[in-house]
Amino acid sequence: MIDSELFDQMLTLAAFDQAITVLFVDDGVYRLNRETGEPVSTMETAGLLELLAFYDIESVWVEEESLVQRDMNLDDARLSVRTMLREDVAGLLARHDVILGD
Amino acid sequence: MKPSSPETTEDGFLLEVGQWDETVAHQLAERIPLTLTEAHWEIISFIRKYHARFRHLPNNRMFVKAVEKALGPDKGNSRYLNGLFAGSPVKYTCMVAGLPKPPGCI
Amino acid sequence: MGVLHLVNSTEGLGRCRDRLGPDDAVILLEAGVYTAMAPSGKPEGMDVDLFVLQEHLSQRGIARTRVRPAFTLIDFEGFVGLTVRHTRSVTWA
Repeated sequence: MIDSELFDQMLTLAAFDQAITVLFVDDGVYRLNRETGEPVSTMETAGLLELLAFYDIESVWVEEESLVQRDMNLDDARLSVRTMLREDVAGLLARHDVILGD
Repeated sequence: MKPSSPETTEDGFLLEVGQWDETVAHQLAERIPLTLTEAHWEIISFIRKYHARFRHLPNNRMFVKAVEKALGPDKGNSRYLNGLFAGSPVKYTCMVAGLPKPPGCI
Repeated sequence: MGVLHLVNSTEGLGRCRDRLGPDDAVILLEAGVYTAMAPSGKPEGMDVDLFVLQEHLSQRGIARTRVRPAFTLIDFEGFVGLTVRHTRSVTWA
């Protein structure tokens, strides 16, 4: 269940046509895991990233170091998640008017 | 003979999501009260697909946007949705669709 | 002005350390104030202004003498001043 208040804040802002960038860092990168083991049906459940895409949130980033530290990689090329280095995170934050996080 | 009424929460949301079918939807709608038309069903069917796909329930603003994306701007606007669903589109759509109470609903 | 990093957990300082911009500032709040004490979590490489909220230190019974010199103690009024100067903030829980 995608139920976090933070994501609802982001989706609401997106619904108000605000430009949103999402950056996954530290344990947040686990949210990128696609749940496995579910039966594939015609109505396959989509993940968080598909929900972001549904609301036109297209600027989605993940910090390379956070992935590496957790032995994860972005082999799932269906989605346009881009990676950035930790040293570039400050620059990303500096380019935005409002920062939400938890 | 009147079929047995579906069990709901105090707020009128279906307790057992699996119990839902068209008859239950009509019974839930009667309690609001709403008379379901084709226009209602289009929105109800959309929210059921949305929930099944994303396992997420929208708030009012997201809902309008989501309906706009799925069914176009004629349907995806608050005037149309408020008119159909007695001024509380997300709450009543979810209620009739047999889904849980969405966040932020009173 | 840069981003104000609000650190309110003991892990928060480590999490924001390598994600600071040159004009940013860091303030330790709540459980984050523990990281103001030596020797844990040495703030090396943090070339930004570092603050710790006095009220939250006292609430946790930490004497100001135990706070590393790299950190400036501020009160709530100073905290408000920081949030005014830094229009953007990010929380590291």
